[in-house]
Amino acid sequence: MTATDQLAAPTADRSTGSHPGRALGWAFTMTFADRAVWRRLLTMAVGIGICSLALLALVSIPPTLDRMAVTTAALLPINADPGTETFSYHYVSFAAGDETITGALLSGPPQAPPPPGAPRFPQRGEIYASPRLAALLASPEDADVRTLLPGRVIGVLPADRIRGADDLFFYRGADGSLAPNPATGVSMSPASGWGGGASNQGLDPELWILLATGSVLLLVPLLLFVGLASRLGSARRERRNGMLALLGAGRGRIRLLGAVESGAAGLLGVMLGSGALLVLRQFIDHVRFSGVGLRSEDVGPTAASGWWVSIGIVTIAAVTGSFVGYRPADASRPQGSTPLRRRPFRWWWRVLLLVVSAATVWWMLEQSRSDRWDLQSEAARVLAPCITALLVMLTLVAVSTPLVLMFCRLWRPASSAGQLARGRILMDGTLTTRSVAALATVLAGSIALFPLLGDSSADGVNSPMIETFGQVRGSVGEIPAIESAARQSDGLLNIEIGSSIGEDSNPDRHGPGLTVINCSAVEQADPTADCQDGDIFQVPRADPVNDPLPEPPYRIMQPDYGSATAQGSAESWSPPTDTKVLTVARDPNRKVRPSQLLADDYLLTPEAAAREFPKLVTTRFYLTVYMHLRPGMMPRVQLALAPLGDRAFDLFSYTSETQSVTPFRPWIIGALIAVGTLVLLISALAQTLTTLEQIRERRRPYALGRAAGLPLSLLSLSIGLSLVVPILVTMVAAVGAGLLLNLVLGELLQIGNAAIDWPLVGVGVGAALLAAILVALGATWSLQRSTRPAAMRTE
Amino acid sequence: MTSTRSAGDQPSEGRQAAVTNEGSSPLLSGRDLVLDFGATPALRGADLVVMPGEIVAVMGASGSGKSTLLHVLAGIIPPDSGTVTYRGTDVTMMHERERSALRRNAFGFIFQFGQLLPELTCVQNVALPLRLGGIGRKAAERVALEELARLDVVDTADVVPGRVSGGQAQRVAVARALIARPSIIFADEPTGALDSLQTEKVMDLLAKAVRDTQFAMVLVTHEPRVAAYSDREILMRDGRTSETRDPA
Repeated sequence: MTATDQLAAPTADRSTGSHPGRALGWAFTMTFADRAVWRRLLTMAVGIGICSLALLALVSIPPTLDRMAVTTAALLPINADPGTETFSYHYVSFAAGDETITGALLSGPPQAPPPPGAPRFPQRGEIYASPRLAALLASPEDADVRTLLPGRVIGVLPADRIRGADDLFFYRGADGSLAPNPATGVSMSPASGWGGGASNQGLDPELWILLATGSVLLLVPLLLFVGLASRLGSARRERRNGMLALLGAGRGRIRLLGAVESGAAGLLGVMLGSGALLVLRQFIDHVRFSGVGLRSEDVGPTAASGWWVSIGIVTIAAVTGSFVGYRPADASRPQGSTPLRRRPFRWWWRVLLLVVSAATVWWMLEQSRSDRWDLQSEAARVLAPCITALLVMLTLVAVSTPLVLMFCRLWRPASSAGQLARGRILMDGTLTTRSVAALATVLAGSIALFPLLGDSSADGVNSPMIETFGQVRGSVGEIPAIESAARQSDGLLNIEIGSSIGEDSNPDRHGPGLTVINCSAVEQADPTADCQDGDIFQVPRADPVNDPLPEPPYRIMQPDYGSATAQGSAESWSPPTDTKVLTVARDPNRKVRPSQLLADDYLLTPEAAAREFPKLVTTRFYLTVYMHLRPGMMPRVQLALAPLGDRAFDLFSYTSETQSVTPFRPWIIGALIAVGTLVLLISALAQTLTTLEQIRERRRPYALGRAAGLPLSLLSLSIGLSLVVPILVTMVAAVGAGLLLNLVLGELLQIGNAAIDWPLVGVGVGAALLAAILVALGATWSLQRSTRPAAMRTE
Repeated sequence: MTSTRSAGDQPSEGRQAAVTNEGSSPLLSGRDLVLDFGATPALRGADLVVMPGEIVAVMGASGSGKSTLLHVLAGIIPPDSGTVTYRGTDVTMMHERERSALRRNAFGFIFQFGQLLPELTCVQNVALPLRLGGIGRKAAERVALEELARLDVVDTADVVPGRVSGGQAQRVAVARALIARPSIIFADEPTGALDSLQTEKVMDLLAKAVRDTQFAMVLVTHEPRVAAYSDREILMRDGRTSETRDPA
């Protein structure tokens, strides 16, 4: 290149040369020379920081579960074959107020291996308790806990020998009611030592779906927010880019400016997110997840996943910033002159996404209906709803802007404020609706997630009654005593006690199955039944034509519960002639469904079971307890059963059907509310930024208008309307999308009767509108300041 | 200073009578106006009287206080001392709300650029003063269309200001200033961003409007050929006024 050529080269390129380091240095200098960059950079960094926190938290889940499994493994017994054990154990959990107490009942000689953290093996009634449980048992106010867990605390477990610092955990010498003996059978699990370990089972598919959907709920609004923040001060930046282009800076050079700015925001954001995770981790010690505590050292991503997430976020931010910060049209408008033709609205990708989403959802529904695709496989159960939720929510975000614009094109407001609002939305539609689209995803997602929380919440919310399950060990003859004990608890409506006691051993025919059951359960199923102890009932099969009841006599084999029932060979049995027929109401819409205990063909009351099967010595009985929906009902029933001793510990706190997702329900609802609130705050922040930006860009015409007598109230009202109208339009779309997603997820997961909490949806929409009004009020303050006479001189 | 005003722009007979009617009371007067922006004095005892039907040009160098004087006279900025009276009422004693109503109902404004609300179409911008006065949308926009047609920019009616040329936008702004038939037009460099052809068009329109309707106009400019449209020229220097050309 000759000296003349060099002189002729564009100034910006010449000054920095082609050296990447110098180009980067130039970009840094240019970027940070602009004072306004800090406002935009910090806003983006906060958004990216929250985004990083969410992603880091998400990738922390699998390694955290692994670490928890390792921690737990060291605390678990090593299972042994019967006869080779050095001690026996049985894990139990029960409710105490709002908390869950868990522990192991142990039975063995004093020389048996002591449990982790205990100096010796506890004998009958001796307790080693976690620090918090020890304090609870010592507290004079907690007599109920002492009733449920009778015994003497002989030691406190060190904090590093329990799963969570705040756990309510114990080891207690069993009281004998669970000990193996000929009268009660073998009820505890044999073990040879401690540190048995357990494989990490991972998360249930439903929980993965919830996590993935929740992440989308959180990430979509955050990405929108980052995109919106990066457009702050765009008019000024476009002027700068135009000037640089005029001076000869190439497209790549200008894009480098955007990349440096967004990359710096990404780096700062990742640092903020990682810092927030480190800080929040310190509080994990006091969080209990479904009764089990976490240890802060167990929580966090692996080093590799942490680095990948961080590098990924910075890269994505830089690449996005390079495209957002520069548009080819800028170069053709030196000094940012106003274009006579506005940039065309890009419809094609929105329409494409809509078509792809509709086709995918339709295909998945068709597959699930045709049984060609096994939705029971775990991958399909997770992937199908996740992909569906993702597509529907992304489509909602994509179409929300055109929907608002279409509405505004049809809207013909009579008032000047309405005209101003309409004009502003049409001019800045994408900016205004992006922040609202974030709220829409949350609303749609919240509606859609109800199928996963479905039945249990429906029963819990709409019915004044809950049902709970449990099991008690004992002999058939003890059923009346168990029932009598349980009925001591105030608020109990009914109790079903029963257990399968055998089935026909002929593999060539279906059943029949036999169940011992109390009369209350029989009458619960058929209120017209006249049940007396000693009766036997036959339950007609649902499809007697294709699935007829085999003819007696039957070869009844008692089930092997491992340690639950007496061993024995099959014995011949024919139902007596006075067997009654029971009409079980099989209406699936009944609030109270017939107990699973009624699935067998013959129901034997306790006296009949003892009469027909004299060798039957013991079993474990399943309890279905129906009680009023009152606080503290579970502990009340447990207290009533406490006199039965350790064998009555296993009363689960599940309501309705035992869905695996149910224990997480309070967490999920809490997470939904937290995500919703967070997104609402982000959205309000985005709306505030957008509105202030609009005011800033138009402060001269507004100031001149006010000078000419334009009332401030009119401008404020127009701003309020331009915030509220997109919210209303988008919320209508969100409710539609949510209902659609609700139906599709219900279909894919085969969950029926999904209940939607409309008041909650109303609260969500109301909160969004309230936020808009508050933003408008804040904007009024800004308007007042920005449109002072001095602003008339602003260019 | 040589006036460049053409014969056709001379004040009408009735208007000349009004201008030269020494017995009539001033429409607007500012007396001994003082205003400081922090440590910077903007007005140091400026005086200005505007008679009904009169066009007064305020001239001066950049930073001499021309625009500030206009803002004070229009009640946009209250002075630190001195009085502004409109039809005998002390504007400086009015509450901001009253001054705002006065500006809306009695004054019209034209600025150099950027005065049209970008969200509204041109016809909506022009109709805005009538709408604020309580007139319905259709009626206001009908009048606005007539006003736009009179100023030869009716084709911009349904377009937002960002998509029209500078000259068209300025004529739309003139239409908006005139539509409510104000008593006084305050024009701050109304042709500052226009070329000579557009300047002539806009000033002809303004002068004709003032002549036809008996408005008064306070015209801030630094261009002698724009000032030539006035009946009187006031020169501002360091925040003080001095008369340079009488209508006589």
